[in-house]
Amino acid sequence: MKCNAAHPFWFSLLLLALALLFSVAVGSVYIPPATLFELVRSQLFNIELPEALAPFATIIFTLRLPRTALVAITGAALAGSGAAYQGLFRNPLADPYLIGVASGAGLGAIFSMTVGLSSFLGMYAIPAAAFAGAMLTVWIVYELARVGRALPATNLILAGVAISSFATALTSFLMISATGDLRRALTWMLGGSSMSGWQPVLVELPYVIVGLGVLLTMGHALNVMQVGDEQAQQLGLPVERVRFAIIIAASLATAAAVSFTGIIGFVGLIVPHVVRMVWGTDYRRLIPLSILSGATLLLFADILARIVMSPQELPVGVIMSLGGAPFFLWVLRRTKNQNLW
Amino acid sequence: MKRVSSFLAGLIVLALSLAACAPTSGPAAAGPIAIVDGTGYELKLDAPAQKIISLAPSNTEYLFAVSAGDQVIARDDFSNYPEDAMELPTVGGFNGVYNLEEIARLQPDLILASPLNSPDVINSIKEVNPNVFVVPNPDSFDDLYTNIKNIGKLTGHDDKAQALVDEYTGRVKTVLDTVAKAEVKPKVFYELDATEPAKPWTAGPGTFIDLLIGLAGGENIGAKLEGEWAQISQEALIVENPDVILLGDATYGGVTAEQVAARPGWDVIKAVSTNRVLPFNDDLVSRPGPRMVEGLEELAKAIHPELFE
Amino acid sequence: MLRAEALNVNYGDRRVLKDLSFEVPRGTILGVIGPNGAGKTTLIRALSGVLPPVSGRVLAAGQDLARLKPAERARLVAVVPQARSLPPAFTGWELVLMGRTPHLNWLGHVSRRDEDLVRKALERASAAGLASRRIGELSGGEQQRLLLARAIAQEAPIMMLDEPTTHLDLQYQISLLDQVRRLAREENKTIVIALHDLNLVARYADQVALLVSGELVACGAPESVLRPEVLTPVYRLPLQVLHNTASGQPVILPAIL
Repeated sequence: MKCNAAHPFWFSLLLLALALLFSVAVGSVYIPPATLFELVRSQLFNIELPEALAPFATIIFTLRLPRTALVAITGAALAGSGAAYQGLFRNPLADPYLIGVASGAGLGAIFSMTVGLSSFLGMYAIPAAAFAGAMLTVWIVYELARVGRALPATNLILAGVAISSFATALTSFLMISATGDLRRALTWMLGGSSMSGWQPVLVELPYVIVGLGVLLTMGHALNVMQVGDEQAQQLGLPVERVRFAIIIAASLATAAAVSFTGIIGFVGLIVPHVVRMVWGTDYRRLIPLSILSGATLLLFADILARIVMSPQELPVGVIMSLGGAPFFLWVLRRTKNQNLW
Repeated sequence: MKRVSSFLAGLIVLALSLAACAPTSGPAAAGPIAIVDGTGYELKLDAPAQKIISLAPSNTEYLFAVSAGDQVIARDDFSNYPEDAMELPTVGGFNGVYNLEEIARLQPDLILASPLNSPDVINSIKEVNPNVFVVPNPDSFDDLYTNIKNIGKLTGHDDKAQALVDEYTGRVKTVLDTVAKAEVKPKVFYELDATEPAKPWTAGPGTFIDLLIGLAGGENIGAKLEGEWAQISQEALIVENPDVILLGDATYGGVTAEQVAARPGWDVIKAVSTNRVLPFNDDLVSRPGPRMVEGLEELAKAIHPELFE
Repeated sequence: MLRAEALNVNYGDRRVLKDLSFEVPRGTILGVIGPNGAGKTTLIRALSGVLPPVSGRVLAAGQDLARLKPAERARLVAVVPQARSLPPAFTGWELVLMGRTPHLNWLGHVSRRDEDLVRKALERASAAGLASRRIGELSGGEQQRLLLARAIAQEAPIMMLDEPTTHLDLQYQISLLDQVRRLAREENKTIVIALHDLNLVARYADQVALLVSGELVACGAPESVLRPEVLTPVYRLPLQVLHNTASGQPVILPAIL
């Protein structure tokens, strides 16, 4: 198996590079490759741009590049966290929203829209409130689930499901009572990213880097966790600390991602499964490969969202759900007889 | 950052090309234009806008009303009046999402937004093009006139705008004078949506529909409820017993008077039993644009048919 | 090498191990016997540090296990658990590699030496052929051998085995216990084995501890513990102890009625 070690990473990187390239080159406005080349050249060598190319420069540098970066980071965060959670909870249905990040973020965002926080904090009110809501929810779930210093996985899942339902119910209530901004709320929940420019990327990046960075070091620990808490402890793993670290790291990355792009489903669930199917269950590879593949998948979904009904733009979340469900069924059929765990 | 400098470069090029092009339609007003929009942002233009994108149906109506139709290069998905506007290409708006790339490519010198657009959307459009003017929703006819005059200034049609304001002022006065002669004030129920006949939606207090119904000599039943969009229970509606029911949902929902009469329990309502359930063009009163004057006239005719024979 | 001092362990409020004290010298094997529910598995968990005692302590190489960090504990004590619900997608190699965890750095970097140790451990446990097989495809006995290999790879001076012969064919039972005895004699490891089969205990244990309802009813040389007077009341079955004329080891059988 060792000889294959180099290939998955190069392959995934290549695929990601392609996705990044397409994401910048393709959009609802057609830009001929020659123009793209001109634009890049002028950027790199500081050449004056001919006047006719000015709008294309705006499109590429102000719109597409930052959006590509945002989508890639989001996909990476969701898939990396999903892989870590699936390993942590030893459950193939675990996704990054399992312990309440999504419902908490939704509640925070809708709350800020209802209360009109934007008047105080400007356009960062909603992402900030979403992030705060997500982390607060995770903290509540954590406190509910822990027993002394121990953090049993079952408790986490139960508490997560309970609190998530509660938060979702609260969110629905808020959406019904404040009818004014309902459309805005729905757009946010579907995964539509209405903020453009580099600001969201710069704000989101540190959290995702820290979160994913921690997760990348947890590959071996996650492998060992697969034999169960007791054996893992007997093998020398500080199980509770590992669990805590993974939850915090994954929650940070997911909360940051979700705050700006809404709740995008399936990425955190599907990508680790596919990577596992192709390249095995070793978490030392699964986590980084999921990160790369998650970015790639979401980029392709976003490209589709932008061109499939051009000039109309579909929310990325819708594309993922539409494509995700049948894809998942296909995966199920193919792997029914294999042991993937 | 490199991105900022390239964006600035694009902007400078844009400004230079603006100066290079002489306006080809409409009288050019002398000197720069500076107007504060609905969000308190002061928009400055060197000359009247010649390449305008409208992001709301009301704005499209304003533009064509002041004869600036030729200067409009794109509209949003929902703009459907006047007919000529339908020929324009669209830049989105369907689920609150606009096609920023198209907007960038078209290089407009003015973008007319409205409170329909959320602050996030407006900010992201401003990243691409800073000339975004948010036209506020009018709370009164005076506000409407202010909007018309502002848009006239922005497009170089000050004279036409003033003429419109004069005409509208006259027409509104006529309606008010006529309605003042009324002996009764009929109770009006304006139906916005009755997908659930037990709890139909209507216009609440403080909305423009509420205001117009009052000016047209009627009493809006919805004024007793809370919120801009409000639901009234069927029982409360029966107790209120409106004299006139106006079907705002006839326009896009296809609701007819026969359907209303067939709703269980609605036949006891006075408006239904006296056959005063009328379809109403919702665009005239829900859209905060120049056709509100026509909306007022139509409302008055529907509420006081006896005064407008 | 391994010593339990007045060990009291609870499950919640229920006392499951009462006041246990014993010592296992280096290079010897302690066989723990007793009826089901006596607390054999609980004892292994307590001795490996996974179940902290309510009072008393466990000393491994002179160090109080409860005071050590998990990695330090794992470098002292290796456990061979019963083969149950192991992750089916891992290969034998990957499972045995986990035994190196307490010796790896925080990034989990595996060195050449780690790989050599894993290979050797597989051979010693007669599991070399299972390295590339997926765990989900293996029988209970094959999984058990891999678990022994894992414990060997852990390079810990103390090893505990929880009913390791349950799924094994007779020849593998003997070869596994032979292997364990070699670990004790040749590498001076301290071994604790919980066993069901009294005759295997008789054959391999240097000391025997009889556990009944959490209490240490008898502890000492096999000849002193494996006697009808001691065993019959515990197992509620008349037993007789014969002696293997060749080796002198006791052979326990139900008494002829």
